[in-house]
Amino acid sequence: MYLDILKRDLKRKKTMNTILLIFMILSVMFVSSSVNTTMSVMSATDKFLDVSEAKDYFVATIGTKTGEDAQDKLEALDCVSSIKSEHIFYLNENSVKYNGKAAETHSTGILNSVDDVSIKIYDADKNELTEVNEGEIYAKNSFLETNDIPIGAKIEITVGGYTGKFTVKGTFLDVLFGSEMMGTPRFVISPSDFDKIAQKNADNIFESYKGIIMNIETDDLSKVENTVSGFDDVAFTGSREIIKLTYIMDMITAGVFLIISICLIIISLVLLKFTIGFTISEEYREIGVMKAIGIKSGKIRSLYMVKYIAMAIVGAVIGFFCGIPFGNMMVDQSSKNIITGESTGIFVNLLCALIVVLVIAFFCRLSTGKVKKFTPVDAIRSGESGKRYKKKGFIKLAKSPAKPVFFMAVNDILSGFRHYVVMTITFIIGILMITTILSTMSTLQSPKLLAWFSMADCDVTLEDKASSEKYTNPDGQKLRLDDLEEMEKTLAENGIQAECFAESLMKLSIQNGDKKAVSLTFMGSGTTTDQYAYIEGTAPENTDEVAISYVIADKLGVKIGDKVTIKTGGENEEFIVTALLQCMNNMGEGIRLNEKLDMDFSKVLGFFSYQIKFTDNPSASELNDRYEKIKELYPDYEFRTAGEYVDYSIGGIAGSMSDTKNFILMIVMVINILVVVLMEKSFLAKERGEIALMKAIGFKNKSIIAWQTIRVAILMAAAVIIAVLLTDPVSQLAIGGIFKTMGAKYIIFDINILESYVIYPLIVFAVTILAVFVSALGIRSISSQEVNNIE
Amino acid sequence: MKKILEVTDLCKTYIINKRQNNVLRNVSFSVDEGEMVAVMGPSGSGKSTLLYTVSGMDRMTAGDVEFFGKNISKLKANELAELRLDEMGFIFQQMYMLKNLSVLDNIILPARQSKANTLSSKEKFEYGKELMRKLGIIEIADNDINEVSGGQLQRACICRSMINKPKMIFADEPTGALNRSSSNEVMDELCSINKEGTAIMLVTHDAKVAARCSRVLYIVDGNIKGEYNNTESDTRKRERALNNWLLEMGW
Repeated sequence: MYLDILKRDLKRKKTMNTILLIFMILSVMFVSSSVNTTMSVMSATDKFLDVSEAKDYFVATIGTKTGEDAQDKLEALDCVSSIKSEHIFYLNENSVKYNGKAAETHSTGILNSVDDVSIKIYDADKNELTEVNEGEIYAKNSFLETNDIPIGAKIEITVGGYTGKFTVKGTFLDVLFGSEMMGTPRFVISPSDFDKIAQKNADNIFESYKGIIMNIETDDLSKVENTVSGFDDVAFTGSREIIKLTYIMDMITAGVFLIISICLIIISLVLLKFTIGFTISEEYREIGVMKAIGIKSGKIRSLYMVKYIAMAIVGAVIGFFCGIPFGNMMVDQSSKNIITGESTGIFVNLLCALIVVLVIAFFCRLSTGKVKKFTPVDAIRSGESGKRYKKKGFIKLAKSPAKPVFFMAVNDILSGFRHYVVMTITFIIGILMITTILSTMSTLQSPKLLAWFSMADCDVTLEDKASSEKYTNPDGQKLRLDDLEEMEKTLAENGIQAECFAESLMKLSIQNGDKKAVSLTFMGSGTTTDQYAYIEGTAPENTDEVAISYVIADKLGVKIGDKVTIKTGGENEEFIVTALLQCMNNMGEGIRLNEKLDMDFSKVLGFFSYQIKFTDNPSASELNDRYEKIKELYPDYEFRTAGEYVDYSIGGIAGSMSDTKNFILMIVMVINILVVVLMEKSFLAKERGEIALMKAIGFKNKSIIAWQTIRVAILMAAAVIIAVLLTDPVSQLAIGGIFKTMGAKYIIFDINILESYVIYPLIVFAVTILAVFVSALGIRSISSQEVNNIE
Repeated sequence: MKKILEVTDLCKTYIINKRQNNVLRNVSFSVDEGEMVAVMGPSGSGKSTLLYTVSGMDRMTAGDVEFFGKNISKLKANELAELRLDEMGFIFQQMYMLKNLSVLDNIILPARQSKANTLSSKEKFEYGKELMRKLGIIEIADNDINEVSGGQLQRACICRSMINKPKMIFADEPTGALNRSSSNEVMDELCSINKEGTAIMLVTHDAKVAARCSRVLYIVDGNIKGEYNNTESDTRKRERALNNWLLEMGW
């Protein structure tokens, strides 16, 4: 008999059962794929380092001889168990040409022979790259994207006395230099081509083009770091942890996917709970009848349990199979620069499917629990449990000036908000997912971030690729100041009132007692130290004063007022710490020297772009004219606005996040459409009688459709407002941590109000409301005679 | 007397499982201004279908229904909705109301929705209260619909049907769910409304209810088998005479 009841139930309540089944399928699909993505993302960088056989510490030296000496010294340490080294050539900013023009390399490039790389590298298909044919070259993906170089194109490489052309064969994944933040582009060629270049550069005058990278395995990192801090001509050092941190920007994208995954799991479970509760409440009348004819509560409960668990199993099987491709898509999207390792496998999907079935059984048990408490009459009264004096309406149509349709929509929500909570939560989560990524993207492109990259505020930057050659000499600072003065004069002659300044970058050793660190050091040309942002203290106004980042301060155990020793040039000098700063260069390690300090600029590692700050507050239209004029005046320099410069400095991550943003927008819209369509169908089933009554007393279809649509529109509008209010705290919580890891103690999210709070929410709003409207068209099939279905 | 509803050769056919079911077969009758007509007949004879079809709630298969000169078979869905809203009132056996609205809000809802009703919102509110006062249910105006008795609710439904001052009220077993005392009260109200000039057509199984109407149509298998005009003024005599006629009809 029970089987008969079930069969008839499945046939008769086709719509609600189908809705429930779809939600079950979606839940299994979302939960299994999201758990899979979460697991892959959480362990991604560790896995990438492991599969690349990256050891504990990396050192890159300038010059082969220096490198070999350094290797000998390191090998002599007890704590070092192995060193794998590779020979490299350094490529300066004019070394790589495409179509006759110098390609954008961000910073010094590295050229390797494929058989000599000290770590394992992988091709785009994530297979180990062990062979490259003669005349062919593999490059970093972001290098090709930045320069619009297609696979198969020819690029020209110049190293010292050698110039040759190579065909771009493909891209490769490189744990050491592959992150978006690591500006250094690495190129890999065949051993025979590498030998040819080596022969052409055999002479000692080409020594500065050569170098050695060491992949060091050690059990005492600090001992190795201390030894390395004594080496000269070190271009790069980095522990495994530092390399992991260089993937922080890639992890922003991955982190966003982590948030999506968690959101999808929450949405799935909330939806399930609602739908099971809703469908069981639809059964109350029948439960009452069964109780009335003497069927025991336990039997009735088991009947529904069997039905829902059977549906859950069917949903789990379908959801399991749909979850595999969906999960793979999420993992693939989460990072393009990382090998996320083997998928956590079908076992996880199976386990998730099983868990969802158990959760459904639990929800079902909870929801059917009321069966026991109800008398047959309570159940027939649709579970009102005898409390007949429950106030429903908080507002009165009689006293409201609103149109009836709008009033009813508002009144429904106020009278039974519980029914709409799921929809509202889903909308809030969806909008938050979008606004969070938008606020992250706009922050990553915000000129306000210049301060946290150790730069003074400016409007425009001009990159001179030849600056490193021009100013890297003892009189570099004077030359640079002369050029900046000349630039100010030229701009003034062209009607542009502006200050010009620039930043120079060194790597200096800083010491407090026996605590040492090698830190990036900044010194301005044409600026004063009060133009920079400090989080505590006052700007170093004198040449024996210094500001240090709080990361360095923590490392050395110093505070404002303490003295530190800095090795400027060949000598150790004492400086007083006057301020603490935060900087996101080199994971928060930074020192700012006074610009009047007499420094030997031959020790300078690099130069930031020229910076131009307009002094007369030009209007937006005038700004555009000025941009054009500056481009015209300096055609050989790379022009960037301050925002573009920030984005460029971070490795264009905001641009690559654009794909993620579109993917999320698509997911949010699909989820919203699914939720509103399925819920609207549930509402239409429940409100069939009321709709019929409204039709009977003369309401037109369009009014009823408007009632249904406005109801969701109000919820959606409320969700947008709540999401907008939550965007900043959620961004701080979800993404702020990543900036903290980079060295920023606090970050103010620079939110583009129009885009984040208006345009994108409006897109989601419009799509969602359109979906409700289309679903609500279903009321046209309800006849006024169905008024008899009213409860 | 002016004819306000004229039904000619009305047919209604349902197709259920590919089988044709002729519920109404060439039904013709008319209702005059101020008349109160009852429709009686055995279960499944087509009484409710007749009521719903002539009131425009359901589409007819063939025939013509003219309501105040308008052929409702030719009206579009929106025009029919306007007609029901502005010129007709409906009362159902179950006291159907929107559960999220208070009793008074349910009553004034059609008035607020109507464009033809030119009263201000405040006037509509006052008129709703006036109707409730008249039907003796003003004390439940702000109550939720699950807080009042069946009799009170049915009188509220009558108020709702009256709110736009309709030309005719259609009632499907308006006392079917009520006890005798409530049933009498509801019929007193309907008779009073009728006396004020509103035509009423009601479906009923109750001979006592039908006896209060001026005319009774007896329908069997989709056809009007007989028509009875209540001419007696004494209530008991009216009931007895109607019962005798119903017996003749095979009731």
